[in-house]
Amino acid sequence: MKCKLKLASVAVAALLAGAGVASAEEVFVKQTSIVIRAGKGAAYDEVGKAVKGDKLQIIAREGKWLKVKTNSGEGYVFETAVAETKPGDDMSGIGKMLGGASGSSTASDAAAGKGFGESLDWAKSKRMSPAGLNRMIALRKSVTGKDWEQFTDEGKVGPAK
Amino acid sequence: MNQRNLTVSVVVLFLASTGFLGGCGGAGRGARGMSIEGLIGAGAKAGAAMSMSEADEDEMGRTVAIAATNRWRLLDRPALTKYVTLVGLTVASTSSRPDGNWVFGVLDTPELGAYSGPNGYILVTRGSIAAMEDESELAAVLAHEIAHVLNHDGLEAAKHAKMNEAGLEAMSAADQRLAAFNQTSDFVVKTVLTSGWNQSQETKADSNAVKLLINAGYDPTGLPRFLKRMQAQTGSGGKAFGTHPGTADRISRTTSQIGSGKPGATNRERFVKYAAEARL
Repeated sequence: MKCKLKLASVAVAALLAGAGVASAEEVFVKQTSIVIRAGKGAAYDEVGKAVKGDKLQIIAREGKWLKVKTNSGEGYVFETAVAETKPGDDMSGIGKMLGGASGSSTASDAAAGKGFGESLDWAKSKRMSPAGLNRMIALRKSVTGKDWEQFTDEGKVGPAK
Repeated sequence: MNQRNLTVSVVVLFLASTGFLGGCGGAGRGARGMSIEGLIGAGAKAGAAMSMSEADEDEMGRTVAIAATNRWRLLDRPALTKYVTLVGLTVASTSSRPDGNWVFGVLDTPELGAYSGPNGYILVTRGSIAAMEDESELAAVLAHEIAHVLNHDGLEAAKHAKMNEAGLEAMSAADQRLAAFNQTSDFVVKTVLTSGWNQSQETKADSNAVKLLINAGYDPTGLPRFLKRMQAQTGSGGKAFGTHPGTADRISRTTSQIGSGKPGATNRERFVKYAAEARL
């Protein structure tokens, strides 16, 4: 799975292009980092990641979701995460503003799901354990897209299909 | 989400604390005790106003989750937590951020309460779940917290933190940033877990929660129904959820908003099955 994610990240990087306006079949990522998922929802597995300014090739538009191409296959991003024009470089995070003082503030770090680690430093200063947070994240990752589809189908809830 | 709404925020605080505002009449150095809003204003004048990235926002949200799970234990009931997560994801799936970072947990306390940190870290207490009667009520409480996240109320709170700059000048840039982050986090955590959001934020979260419930196909009356139960436990002026507006007002507003629209799902049977784990 990790290997797949790495491949997908590389694939997205390969789709990078210079500044400008995307063609009708392409869009730019406008958030610091986004997750490309196997399905149309936060419950689905990650199939890749992309960072601000990356250009994504659109395969299809399905409602408010865009099906995009990655090296390892296809995945979905939500329309509000992307734009037709390349975003400015004004939201790159704290570390960059401080000249990389933290050494962990690059877009690639953000794409890898790394923050700056301040929350862990904060917890340490308060003698608090991050164990509860880690369990929350692990439990979240254990919920699959299939679980969610079954749940919404049985309960007759969720987005219109 | 409009990224521009995130402009200013904590990043300017960091800039101020690290001397980036040095050319702005000494706003950074002489700002001991100044509110972050003051620093932000000074930064904006210097053209230094920046936006907080999702990664920054995520770190702030994690501090809230860490603080909550240290004040109370995280309930060790994976089936119940998975159920809460599925309900939360269902509500979020029809929001403006169906692709967001939504992480849920149940706190092991009989108290009534629900909390949300920036970027989607949401916790509900075992006591709240035990007081609910069906899935639409759980969805309502989660929708209210999701609405706070979507409205970036945590970051709004960060803007009002007070900055103590004592000793900052002698620190390295990295240490200054950490000190500033820690102080801001202290304030955000206090706002989320103790003092609560302001009345305007709470009213907006209720209103948006109703919309989210309707979009997701849940019975929106789950919100006023749960509020009534809360009212019965805490009294008409009850503030069981921090500084929320009086419960009676909330019931009145949400009931009026819902009107006579068609009812949605309550899914009482499956709720009862999982909620049994909250009634320890």
